[in-house]
Amino acid sequence: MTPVLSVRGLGHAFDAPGGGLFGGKRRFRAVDDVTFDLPKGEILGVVGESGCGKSTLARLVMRLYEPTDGEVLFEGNPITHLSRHELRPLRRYLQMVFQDPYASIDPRQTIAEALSEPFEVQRVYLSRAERRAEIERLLALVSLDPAMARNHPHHLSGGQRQRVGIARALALKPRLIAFDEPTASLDVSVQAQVVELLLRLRAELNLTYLFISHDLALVDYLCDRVMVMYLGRVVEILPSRARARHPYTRALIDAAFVPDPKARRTIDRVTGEIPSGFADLPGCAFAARCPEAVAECRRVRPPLVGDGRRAVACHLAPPIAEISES
Amino acid sequence: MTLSGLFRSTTAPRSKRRIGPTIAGLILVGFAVAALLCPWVAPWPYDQQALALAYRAPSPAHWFGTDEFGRDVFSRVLYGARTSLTVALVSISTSCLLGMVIGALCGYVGGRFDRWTMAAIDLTWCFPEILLALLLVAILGPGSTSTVLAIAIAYLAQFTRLTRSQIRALKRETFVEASLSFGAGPAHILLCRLLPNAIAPVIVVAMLTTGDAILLEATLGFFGMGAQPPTPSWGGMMSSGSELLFDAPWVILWPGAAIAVSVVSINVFGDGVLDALDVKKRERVH
Repeated sequence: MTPVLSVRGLGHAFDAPGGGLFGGKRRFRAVDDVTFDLPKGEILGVVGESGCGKSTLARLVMRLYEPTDGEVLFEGNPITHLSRHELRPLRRYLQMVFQDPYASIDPRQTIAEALSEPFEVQRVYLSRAERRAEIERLLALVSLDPAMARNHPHHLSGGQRQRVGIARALALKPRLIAFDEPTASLDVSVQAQVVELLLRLRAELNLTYLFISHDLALVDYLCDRVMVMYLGRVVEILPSRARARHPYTRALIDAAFVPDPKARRTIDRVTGEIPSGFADLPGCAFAARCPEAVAECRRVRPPLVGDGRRAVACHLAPPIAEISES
Repeated sequence: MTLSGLFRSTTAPRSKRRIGPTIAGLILVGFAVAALLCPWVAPWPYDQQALALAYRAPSPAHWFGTDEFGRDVFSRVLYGARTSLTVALVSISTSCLLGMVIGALCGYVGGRFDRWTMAAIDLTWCFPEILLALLLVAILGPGSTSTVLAIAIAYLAQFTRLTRSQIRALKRETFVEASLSFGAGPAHILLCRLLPNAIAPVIVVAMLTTGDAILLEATLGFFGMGAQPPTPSWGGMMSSGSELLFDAPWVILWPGAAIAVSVVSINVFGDGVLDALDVKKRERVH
């Protein structure tokens, strides 16, 4: 079956003013040669530290930014070179939920107006009664009171606004939703509700998610597979809760907080600085901080090797067979 | 919403509502009504001369006295409101509308178009308003049209810059990205998302600038570049009154007072609108 989303060698680089007064322009690679497949019904988590390009990746997939390299295929059809007009009908199937629920709704709109905007933009003409029914359906989907439709966003709490953001993304019956850290600005209790809502919606509406986050515990719980990014590159794709093969993935997991005071662990501390995204690194992006790095790591860029489900970009990674035994 | 409701201070209890902007608004309405209805309200025609009655002090027949041709100063101040307010309103609305269109396009499109257009707009800042008016008077001849154009050009850069900076800031908001993700085109983004959010500060600046425009119109009128006699304008009346400043001070005082009261009223009213339109401030109450 064709994956809902395929990304092939996707890259986004931009010119930034160079260092110093008379420095020329320098190229910054926010996303560098990213390749993955997202089969129907799956939740793929994308994790990595701030600035690793995960939000940019979501916006590239959504064509909110223009990729400088590579290709995005939606249900097997390339969408990278479509014009705005050619893309508009496809946008119904590709929706996005943003990180900040306070900023993602126009403060001048009522909730009803915010929820009917996708229909207006897509030129779906609804009668007054149809519109009201649609708004009630959407609010019910995300367990909000239909009376809320008359309110402005500032009357709503963060969790309620994020539900509106999700409802709005559901308006056009999408097939793929990209979430850009949708729970990062919510309280923990509200986070849990939103996560349960997302799981319920996936089951009810047969959705596929691309879930950007930096919360490893959350990604582990919610996602089927996890893609780890470092400096714009994919270092590993693995099923969640599987044993990590890349040293960076291991470091990330080790750094995550374990809510068990009795658990005492030894942690391989990662030292050193993240290299600048401006530098054209010949080798592995993580080599400078990797405790296991050898000379080859600094010289040759490790390719992403593996099958469709899991892959790793590390010269020293043990083969999958070895890992699954332990 | 009632007029006083509009200016109720949103953070203070009802009893502490602000009275200033309401009074200012009423004064402005009074001026506007007088300007509209002056043929019926004014006790005398503005151009009826009676040389024998020249420079009469205020009296029950001539409330504000008479000028050098024996014309009724009160009637002329009323008719002058017509000239001054029309010139100020027409010039500021022209300037504001044009500035919003250019500023929105520059802010939204950006790049080379923005750089060159803004450079051209900024050029108008090099000319003092008086010089600009002189230039236009030299080309078009003296009169209200030249005044309106000069004032409109003088304030164009201000409105353009303000709108442009608003649009540039709003363009990066997430709700704009959200609209884009539904497939919205530039027209929808500009008209439905950006402009409605950018308009409040522009409107307030337009109101406050109207006060400046009245002053500028009076200045140009004082120098004889505005409305031509016998059409009364406050600036022109002050100019003729300046000849007998000490012997017949009422000729210059009344139009001067009219200018002062209208400018102060507009500024106070503008401040009130600024408070009333402040969305964020309202948000805090809920």
